[in-house]
Amino acid sequence: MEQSRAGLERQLVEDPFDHATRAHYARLLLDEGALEEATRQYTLLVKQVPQEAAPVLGLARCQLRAGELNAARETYGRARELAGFIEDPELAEALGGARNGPVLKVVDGSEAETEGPLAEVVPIQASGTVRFADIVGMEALKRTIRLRIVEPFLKPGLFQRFAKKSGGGLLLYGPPGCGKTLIARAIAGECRATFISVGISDVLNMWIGESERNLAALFEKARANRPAVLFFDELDSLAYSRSKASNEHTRSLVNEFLSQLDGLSGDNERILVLAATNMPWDVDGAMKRPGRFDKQIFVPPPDAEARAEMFRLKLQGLPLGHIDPVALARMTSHASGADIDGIIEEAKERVLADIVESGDERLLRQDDLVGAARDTQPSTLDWLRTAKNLVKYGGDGSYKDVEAYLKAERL
Amino acid sequence: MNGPPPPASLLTPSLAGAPAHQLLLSPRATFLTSFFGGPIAALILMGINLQRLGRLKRETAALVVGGVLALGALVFGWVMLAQPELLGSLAPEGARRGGSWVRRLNNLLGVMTWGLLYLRMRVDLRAAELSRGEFEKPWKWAGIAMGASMVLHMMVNMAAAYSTL
Amino acid sequence: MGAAFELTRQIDHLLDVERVEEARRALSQPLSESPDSAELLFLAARVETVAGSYEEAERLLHDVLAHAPEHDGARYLRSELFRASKRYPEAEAELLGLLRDAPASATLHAMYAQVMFETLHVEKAQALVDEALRLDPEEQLAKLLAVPLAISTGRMEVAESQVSELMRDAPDAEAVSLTLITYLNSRGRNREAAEVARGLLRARPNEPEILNLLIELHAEAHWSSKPLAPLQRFGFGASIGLWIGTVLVLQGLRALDQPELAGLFGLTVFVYVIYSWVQPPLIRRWLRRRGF
Repeated sequence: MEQSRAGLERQLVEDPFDHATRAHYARLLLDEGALEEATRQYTLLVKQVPQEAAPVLGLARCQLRAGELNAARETYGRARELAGFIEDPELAEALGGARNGPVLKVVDGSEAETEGPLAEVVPIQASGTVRFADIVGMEALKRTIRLRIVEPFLKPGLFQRFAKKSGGGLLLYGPPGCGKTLIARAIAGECRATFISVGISDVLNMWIGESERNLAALFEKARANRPAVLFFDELDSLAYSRSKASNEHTRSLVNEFLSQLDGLSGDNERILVLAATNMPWDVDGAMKRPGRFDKQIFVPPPDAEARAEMFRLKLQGLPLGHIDPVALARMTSHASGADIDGIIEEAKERVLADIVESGDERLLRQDDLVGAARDTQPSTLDWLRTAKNLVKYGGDGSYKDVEAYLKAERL
Repeated sequence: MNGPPPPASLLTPSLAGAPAHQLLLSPRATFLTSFFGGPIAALILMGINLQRLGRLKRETAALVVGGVLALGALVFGWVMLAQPELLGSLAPEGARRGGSWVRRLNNLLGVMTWGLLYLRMRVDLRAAELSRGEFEKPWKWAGIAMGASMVLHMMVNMAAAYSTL
Repeated sequence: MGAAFELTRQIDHLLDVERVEEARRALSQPLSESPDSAELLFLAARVETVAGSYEEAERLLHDVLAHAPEHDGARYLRSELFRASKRYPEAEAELLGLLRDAPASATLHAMYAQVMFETLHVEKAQALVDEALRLDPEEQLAKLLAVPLAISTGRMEVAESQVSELMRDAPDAEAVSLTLITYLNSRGRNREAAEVARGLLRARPNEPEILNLLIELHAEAHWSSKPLAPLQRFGFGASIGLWIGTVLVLQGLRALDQPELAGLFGLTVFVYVIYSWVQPPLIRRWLRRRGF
């Protein structure tokens, strides 16, 4: 129902923190051309809900109409980093360039970016849609995902003829920094589907307004953009085990999530739901039942071959002496992509410190990297120790992949 | 609110002005030390626990009984070593051949003293285990208790040796 | 819904899902804009409490109470901080202050009972739990405390009925599982207790206390611990009985002039005693190494 300006003002006097009304009021002012007042309202909204993209976008629109192009570009860039950001074609066209990579965004196959945890796995292409070919190593994992996820999604008919069930979601789990998010993006790329990513910031915004309705809106967005891949990063923060939760809202959000996954509120045909978590034990048990995240795949730390390739790619463009990536890979067992980044950074710092102290320029050498690698403890070890507790003492057989990995690595 | 207000005694402070809360010595540690150290060790260790519970005064009777047992152990030791004939036919066979009966009686009286005092604070010891599951490391106090017991028994031995000279 | 309410919900959720860093981040901007807001400072104190930074939490609570001396939440939390840091007299003083303002609060009675139980004022703790349950028969903390209190005082039938009630109300709650383990262990039902502990470990595989508890229970339920069942069941009574029995039997055999039998019996008892000392740590190490 359309409301008058005076009516909205009255409502805001009664509840100055009613964001929806203030947003409505600001939009009305902007449409009426009351630029100064609209700017004031949007600025206030930005203060009240700093994590939301919509008020910042509104502010950018005000600045654009006021002819403050640089400020508008900067504000629009800021909006891109916030939750709930949706591309505004009018602003994008007028401003161009201002791209930083939003937290929540709808990306069609042609413009998917390779931002995110580049440190974990190194894409061969620097830009464009992420595909499996862009991910270094992990061949067995990619084969499994292709057979169990991508092909059933692309060719549902073939699988139906063999009475093989398709559908259900995929949960990627493993230590942090090992490329779970990039794999999810690559799955979307392989499926040639719209990729909708939901991160922890979006989870926070779940609590602004009606959290259950916000979650339903995400699924609706996926349904409106099918074929779509709906990706929930850090699933445990959204579908936290109800037996551990002390907050009633956390539990009701899980209930809503379950009903959305079951397609009770709409048809989930041609929507692939993916999720990633470092802590699968924190995810509610009901999430892992058939039809939901019934396929769980362990994403281990990169193998030696992948680590060598990472060293090769990440060192490109640096002033290098003789480097043996294979030897470096051998001595960095269990290191994640992020750890390898850390090792390279540490080695660079050593070289620079040397240069500053001695005044002589020199190349980055193998021994710099070896020294840095010796001083770096793989960040995955804590996770692997925890997983070992589950495998050794938990006794429910849910982590067979991890068990096999631990055995193979003699951990 | 259901029914009448809570009794005022419940809302009287119990900890104000009390010394900082100290952990108890565990039943296992006190039992073993009492077995080997006899009633003197038992009295020392369980006395420490009672003091930490603020119940030394309330348990005076039990402590006196424990003290009597400790004294009995020392007197019996002296009699067995110095003048076993005082016991007449009560002196066990072989008592004169060494101190094994003294040791056994010391063990028995130690366990009895421990048992008596344990029964007086069984609830508290169980509560300590169930509430925080923490007990003080026993080494220091067990060492002191064993040391005190040994010193007293050595004194009895020396007194017995002196009296038979 | 107001901004403060929504921020509180965000922080509630982040703390619920153990995202302390995110909670700190979510609070940093509002706090920089309103550094004197008692509500924001209180939220920050809650975050630091969950993070285990008790000193920082206490400092923040001090600031909250400087701005809003009657802030109940801050006073509750401060009493919890005092209890967690084992500053019991201060916890008691804070709780008594709160109880003066809200004498009909079952939760406050239960919280005070917890302080009394931890400082081994068992009778008073029991009276406070009774009072809390009289004020609110559904008070969860009071129900949880009632079980170990009943076990401590040897009222096993009370413990059993309380455990049953807890299991009926919230069978999958972690606190209930821990209470159930305590109860089962006190009844010598270690195998069942170990199964419950195993479920807890699956939920919290990174908590060493739960792992240690599970290994302990598994060790006690292990087949190699069967010979030690009397010692496990009857504790010190069994040890004392064993010792007295051994002395008497040895004395009897000597009186009957059976030195060989006495030697054999003595050796058997000696081996059993050594076994009772050596087996528990060895089996714990074995289970930790091999898993189960």
